[in-house]
Amino acid sequence: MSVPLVEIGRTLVISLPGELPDADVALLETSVLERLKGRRFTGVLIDLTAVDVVDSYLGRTIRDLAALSALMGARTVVTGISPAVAITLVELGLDLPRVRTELNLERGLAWLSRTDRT
Amino acid sequence: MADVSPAWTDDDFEGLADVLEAYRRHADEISAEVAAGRGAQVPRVRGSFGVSEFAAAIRARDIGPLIAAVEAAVPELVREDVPLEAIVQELARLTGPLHKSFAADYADDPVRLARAFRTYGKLRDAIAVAAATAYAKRRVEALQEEQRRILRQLSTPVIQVWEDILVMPLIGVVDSVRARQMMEQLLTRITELGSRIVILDVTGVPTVDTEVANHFIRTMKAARLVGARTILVGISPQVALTLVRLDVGLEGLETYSDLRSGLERAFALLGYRIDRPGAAAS
Repeated sequence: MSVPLVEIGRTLVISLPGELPDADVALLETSVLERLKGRRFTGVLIDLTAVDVVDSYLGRTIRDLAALSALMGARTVVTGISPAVAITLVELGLDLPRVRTELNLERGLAWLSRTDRT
Repeated sequence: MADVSPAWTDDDFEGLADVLEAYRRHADEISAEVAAGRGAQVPRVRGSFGVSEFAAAIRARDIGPLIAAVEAAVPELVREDVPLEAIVQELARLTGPLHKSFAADYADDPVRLARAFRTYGKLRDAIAVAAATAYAKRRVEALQEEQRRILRQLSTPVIQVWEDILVMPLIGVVDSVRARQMMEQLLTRITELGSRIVILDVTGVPTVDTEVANHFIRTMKAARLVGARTILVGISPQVALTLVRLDVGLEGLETYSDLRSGLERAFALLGYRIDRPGAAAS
């Protein structure tokens, strides 16, 4: 599994690498679910800083990951979307309408800690 | 070019071969004379064709590649701001010394001498026409590029009016090309500055159609993905009417009547309070 899953407190940080083969994308959902199972994460952060290009497959996976972690009871935020990736996602109709988005990892974590308290 | 330049006969190429020979024999004197005529201040026009290309063209009985080489050299000269006169003068400077060399070499054969004069003139004309045409074409292209660049900047300014707040005033007709440019420019500015709120001011947009309305929505969605919230302001009654008639789904788009109300909303969202100490007392 080439996608690092980092735990910061009760937040799971999923950092997508720039190059992600489809086989790894397919494994991503199950490995995130494995991690979420059992432990009580309050937040999930999906960081796309390293991602320069998305296709519909990766776009759908990001959307599904966000939906999954929200269903598992974790606040979910997607961060680090570049202008080019944002335009592609909108053109693909995968603009993540029900997911919180923040400019970068720092702001994503800040949002999670804000929503943590309430 | 082919329609204006006369055909080149075998006899012409024989003549060019004589021209080349005379040039080779007197190369030192010719370049000395050309350099003297050039003076110090005139920009040096680098030779667009060398003796070897010239020789190859004569062997192949085709001046096409030579003309193509001239045309290919012109954009660089335009880029360096070398005026057209300098190029033509550089070409003209060669004529006197070359004519002298013909006279020296072919004085005993009037037919050959006349042919050298004639074919050199013909070649010089062809090169001058090619250079001038390519020059004019390149200049027009450069001007158009510059105009497009200025227009792009003018038509889609993104202004940081406050920490975290960007305003993008749209003026005039928005077409799909401009729509795409403004989206890219806006997203770039958001990520550069880390802005949290974008106020899209459409006061200056006279009319909208489905495409433009959809574009507003796409821009808002893309801005949200990079972490900024969009406030749409300045929708005129006509535009509002059109949007309702078109049944464009503007749900979820936060709208305010004018820029001032949008800005107040943005300040409120960011937790700013506008205060004028002492105003209430007076």
